[in-house]
Amino acid sequence: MADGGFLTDLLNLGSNYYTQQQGISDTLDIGRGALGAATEMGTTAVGTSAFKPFTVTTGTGSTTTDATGGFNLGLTPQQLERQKALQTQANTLFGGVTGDVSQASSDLYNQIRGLQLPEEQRRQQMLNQQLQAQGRGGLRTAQYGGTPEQFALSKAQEEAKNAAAYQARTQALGEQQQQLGLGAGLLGQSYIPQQQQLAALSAGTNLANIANVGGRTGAQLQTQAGLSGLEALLQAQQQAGALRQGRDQDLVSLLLGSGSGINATGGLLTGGGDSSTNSNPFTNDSWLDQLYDTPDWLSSLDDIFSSSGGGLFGLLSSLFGGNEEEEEDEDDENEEGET
Amino acid sequence: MAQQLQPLTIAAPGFAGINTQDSPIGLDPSFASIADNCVIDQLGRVGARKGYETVTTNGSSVLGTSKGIEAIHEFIEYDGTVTVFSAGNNKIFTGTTTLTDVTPSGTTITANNWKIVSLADNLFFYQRGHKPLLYDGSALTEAEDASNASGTQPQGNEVLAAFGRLWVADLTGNKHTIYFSDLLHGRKWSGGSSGSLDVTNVWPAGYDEITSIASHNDFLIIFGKRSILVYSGASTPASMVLADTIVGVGCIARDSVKNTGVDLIFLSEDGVRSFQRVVQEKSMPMRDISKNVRSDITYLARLQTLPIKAHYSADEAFYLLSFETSEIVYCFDMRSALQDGSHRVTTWSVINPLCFALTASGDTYIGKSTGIVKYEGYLDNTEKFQMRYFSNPMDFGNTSNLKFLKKFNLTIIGGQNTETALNWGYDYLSDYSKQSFTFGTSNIAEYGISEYNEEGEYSSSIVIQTPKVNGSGSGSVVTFGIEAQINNAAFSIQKIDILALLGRLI
Repeated sequence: MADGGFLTDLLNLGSNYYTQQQGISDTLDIGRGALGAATEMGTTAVGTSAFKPFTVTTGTGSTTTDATGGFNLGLTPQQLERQKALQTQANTLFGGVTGDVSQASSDLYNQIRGLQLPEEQRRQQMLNQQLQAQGRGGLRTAQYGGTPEQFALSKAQEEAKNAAAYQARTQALGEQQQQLGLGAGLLGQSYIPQQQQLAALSAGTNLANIANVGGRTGAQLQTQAGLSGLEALLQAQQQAGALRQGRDQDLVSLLLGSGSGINATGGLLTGGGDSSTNSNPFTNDSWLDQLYDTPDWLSSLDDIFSSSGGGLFGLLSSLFGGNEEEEEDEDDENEEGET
Repeated sequence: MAQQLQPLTIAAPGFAGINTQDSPIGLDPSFASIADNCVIDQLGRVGARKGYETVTTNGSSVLGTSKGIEAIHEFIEYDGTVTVFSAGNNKIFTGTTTLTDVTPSGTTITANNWKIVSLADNLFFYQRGHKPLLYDGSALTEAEDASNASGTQPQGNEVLAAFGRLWVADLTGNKHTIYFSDLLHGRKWSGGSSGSLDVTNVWPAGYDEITSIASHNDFLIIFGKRSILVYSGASTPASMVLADTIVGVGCIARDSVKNTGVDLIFLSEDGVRSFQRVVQEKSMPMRDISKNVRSDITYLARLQTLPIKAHYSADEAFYLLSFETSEIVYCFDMRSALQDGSHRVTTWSVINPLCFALTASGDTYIGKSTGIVKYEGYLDNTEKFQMRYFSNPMDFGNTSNLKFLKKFNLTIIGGQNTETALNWGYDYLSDYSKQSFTFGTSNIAEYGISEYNEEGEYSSSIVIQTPKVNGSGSGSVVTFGIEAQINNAAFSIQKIDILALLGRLI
């Protein structure tokens, strides 16, 4: 019995290792499946929520968008011509703004002086007549140059010239300011159609959003539903894995027994019953095997016990050497983890 | 039956001065045809002019062979220092008794027709083509070299100190511009209130040339040769205004313009004229002072090639006009005008003045070849001079009767030791009958002079001579005259009484 207990423990160890190894493998399979499903759902969601270019057409032109988010404000030829005309006028006005203010001032000064000169000439003639009548036409003084009246008139004329110069300068600057305003206004006016196009684009964008929101919401709902399904699938697979482990454990216990000491119970293969009847019910292609889908090693366990010596080592080899495919999977797992 | 002698009294004969302009017949007997070396004395009589006394003692040495002293001016400085400046022999002198040459070294003088005026304690000398000279109380220099001098000193021939500044005109090549200096700075001709007035286009009767400038009655008077411009407000030249113009009358001699205080006298082409003093009225009426000798004056004026000089003496109450070229001086009595506005006029000969000057003391200095002489006494230096008075032809109001002059009763004031000749003639002829006589010596009481132990002089203060001369001949008109060799005594003709016999009608 001492040999039989050791073998049973060894088998129990192997069976436990096996069932746990199966649980690990199942869990990895579940993860891989969830990753693939999630990737597929993301791809589907991206495809569903992708921007769809659209075109807005108004009386001033057509605005087209592209997939990259850009857009092209296309004006009608009439609007383009009008825009060009306005911009040409604006440029002309801007030319005045950046023109020589001195020349403009000079021109205005000459115009103002042209208005003032006749009156000045009349006053000068009156003064000349007055001075001649007073016998003072030839008067020259160090104080005034000529007579005080001539000085006063000359001073007034010079002041008028100064005022005219200042006025001309101010007016020139004012006109430049005015030209700037007009140019800016014309330039602004030239871009009104495009502003209108942009406004229409905004309106079109809102409308496009309505259509797009459905797609994006569908993709979101689809993703949410897929995630829920994926979570349910994972839970089911986890439960299935647990159940599989329980089942395998039960099968091991059935075949190899369970407990220890006085509580030890023998299994079908470990003498727990009639030795004549000690055979594996899960042999290959038996109805139990087909019913439980028992593992190969378990279904061939009867062969192990039937060939003493070598059979046990084969069993251990089977238990601890494991399935080559499973080991390869483990190796793959390790490699992926390292990567 | 013998006719009664008719007394024909001529009181103060010739007291109206010479009249050569009106028809002699019918002229007032107060006019004279000749009144040479005469003046109208203070009592309105024709009398002998004064002579002169030589003041300068070194004239011959400093004047050499030159004409003599041609300009004299008495300068009174603010501190009372009196200096008499004179010009002659192309030099400037100071002093009267001894002429001291003060001509600035380096100054070239080629004429002596200086006009000298004082302004602000400075004395200025101007004549055409010469740099103005300045005496500031210490030395005579060219004005441009004086301190504070500025601008171009105008080298004018006419200068006037009036309205607080100098006025200069009649420059070589510019006889139409008056330059005025800065206020109270006769040497500053730029800056301040200096300036100029070109009157080229102001003359009322075409272009004229400035000959003289004067101030009168707060007017600045600019004399052209044929026009006169009168400016008001000259105290501020920048605003002075032409107040009046006079066409057809001008001034032809710079030095003929004299202020009498109430009048402005000047020589025009047609005689001596004057502005009457006008205080309220703006108009400037003019009088013809030399109306009674107009032709003589205008004729002489045209003959002159040497400067015409004039002199006004309030003390002597005469205006002298000297025609140097003709060696004759017209003397206008300025005490009062005749009814027609003219003034009594006499002539002076022999004296031949080159210039005149009036001193603050009222003395009249005369420039002569010998230097400076003083108008005083009744000898020309030490020489007697002849006074002549001749009446115009007179018919005594009766043109058709012959007049037989039987007797002359003369009343002469003064005339001590004076050789006198009474002349009379008939019918415009100059071959006068003469009767000479000499007045005796008589001393005149000298009030205030104590002459104890001297010959007593207790006679009348006025010496009156009353010679009586018998006449001869006859004619319808009568001319008479007195020639007297003035011998250091006054001589005035007070009255001439003629006793005549009227003859038949002719």
